[in-house]
Amino acid sequence: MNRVPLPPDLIGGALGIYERYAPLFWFGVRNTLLISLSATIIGLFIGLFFASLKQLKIDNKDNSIVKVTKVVLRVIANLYIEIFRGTPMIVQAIFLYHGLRPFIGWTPLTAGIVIVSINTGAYMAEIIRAGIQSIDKGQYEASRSLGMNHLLTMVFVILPQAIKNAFPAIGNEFVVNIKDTAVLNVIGVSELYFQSTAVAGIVFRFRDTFLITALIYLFLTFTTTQLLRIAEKKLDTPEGLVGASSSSSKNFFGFKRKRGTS
Amino acid sequence: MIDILNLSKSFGKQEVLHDISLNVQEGEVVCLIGASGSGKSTLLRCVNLLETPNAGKIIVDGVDITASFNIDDYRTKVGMIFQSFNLFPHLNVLKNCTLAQIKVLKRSQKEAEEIAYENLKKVGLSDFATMNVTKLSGGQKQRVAIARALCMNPKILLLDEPTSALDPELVGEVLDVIKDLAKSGLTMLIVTHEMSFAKDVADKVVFMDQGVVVEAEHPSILFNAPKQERTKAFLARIVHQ
Repeated sequence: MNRVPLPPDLIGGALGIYERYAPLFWFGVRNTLLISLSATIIGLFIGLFFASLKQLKIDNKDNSIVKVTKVVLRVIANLYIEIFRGTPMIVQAIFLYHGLRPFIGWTPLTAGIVIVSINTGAYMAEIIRAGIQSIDKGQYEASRSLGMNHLLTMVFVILPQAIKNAFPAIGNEFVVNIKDTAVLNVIGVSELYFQSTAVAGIVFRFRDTFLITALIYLFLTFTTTQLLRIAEKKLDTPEGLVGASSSSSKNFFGFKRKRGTS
Repeated sequence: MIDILNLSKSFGKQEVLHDISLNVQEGEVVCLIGASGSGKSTLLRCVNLLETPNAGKIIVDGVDITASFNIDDYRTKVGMIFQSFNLFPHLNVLKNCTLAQIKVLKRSQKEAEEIAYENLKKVGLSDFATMNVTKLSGGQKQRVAIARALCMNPKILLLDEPTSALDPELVGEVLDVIKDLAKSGLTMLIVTHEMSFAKDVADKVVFMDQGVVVEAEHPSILFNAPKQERTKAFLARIVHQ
C-alpha cells in the first residue's frame, strides 16, 4: 500500500491510523464484547451454582452420607472461589489454554470465553452470597412456613431478591470484564488489545494506536455503565422484577382506597 | 388437635422453654401472653418447626411432628403470621398469595387466583390484588399475609404478635380480621400483647413467664381471678401502663 505517511503528531497520527485500520479495531471490539458479555452471563450462572453450594447447611437430621456430601460440595465451592480469585486471570488463561489444548483442542476464542466465565463465576459466587445474606431471614421463614422446600424458597423467593440487590455489583463485573479480556491476548484471542498491537506493529506507532484503543475502551465501558444505570433505575421502581406485567401503572393510580374495612 | 407434651427448648445454654405442656382443641383460639422473653414466640415457632425442640413432643392431629416426617407437607397445613409480615416484596399482592399454591399444592394458576381473590376478599383487600406489596400500609400488609396463609387452607393458624409492628390506628383492622377468623372455627394460636383482644376472642389464655406456662385458663377467669401470684403481678403491670 503506497500512501502518504501518517502525520507525526499524536492526534493526526491517531486519526490516520483509525481511518486506515478501523475494521481491525472493530473486529477486536466484536470479540471483546462477545467474550465479556457471554462470560458475564455464564459466570453469573456459575456463581449462582457455587453460591448455593456454599449455602448448604448441615442439619442434625441428615444421615451421614448427606452430611459428607454437603461438606465435600462446600469444600469444592470454597476451593474454586479461593483459587480463581487468588490467582491472576492472565496466569489462569495461559495455564488452562495450554493445559487443556492437547485434550480438547479448543480455539483461543472458545478458551477465552471459558476462562473469563470461570474467573467471573468465582467473583459472582461471592457477590450472590452477599446478596443472599442481605435478604431478611423472615423471607426464608415465611416461604418455608408456606410449605415451600429449600430449593423452591431459593429459586422463587430468595434469589430474585438477592440478584436484584446485587445487580450493581453484577453489572460492574461486566464492565470489569470488558477491560480484563485484554489479558487474553496472551493466548492469541483477537480481542481489542490484541488487534491494537497488530495495528501498532504494522504502522509502528504505538502511542498513536493506543490512543485509539483507549478511546474505544472508554466508549465501551462508559456506554455500558450508563445502560446499567438505566436498568438499575428500572429495577428500583416499585414494580421491580415483577416486570411490566399488566399490573402496575393502571392500578397504581386507579386503586380505590379502602382503609379500615374488613 | 395440638398436644404439646413436656416441651423444652434451649439456645446454647439458655433454656427458653422449660417442660411446657399445653393442649389446643380443634376450633379453639388460644392466646399466649406474657412479658418479652418469656418464650411465647419460641413456643409458637416450635409448633411450626421453625425451631427444633430439644425435648418433648408436639402431637398434631395424632402425628408426632418432632419425629422425622415430611416437614413441608405439614407446614402447608399450619399457617404462620409474623410480626414483620414477611411478604415477598418482589411479587405483587396476588402473586404473594398464589406462589405457594402453585408450587406446593400444584394448583393451576387460574384456580390459585380464584382462591387468592376469595381470601383477599375475606380480609377486605380484593381491590388491591395487582398492587405491589411495598405500597401497602402495615395493616394492609398484615392482612395480605393472613390471606396468603389462608390460601393454603390451613387447619391451624399461628400468629406471632400480628399487630406489634403496626401503628396504633392500624391495629384494629387486623384484629377485626382475626376475630372473623376466630368465629369461622379455625384453630388459632396467637401470641399477643393486646389484652382486650385476648379477652374478646380467646377460648383459653395462656400466661407464660420465664419459659414455663404459669396459668392457662378461660379469659374470664385468667383476667378477673388469676390464681397465681406471677399472673397477678403481670396483669397489674399491664393495667397500670
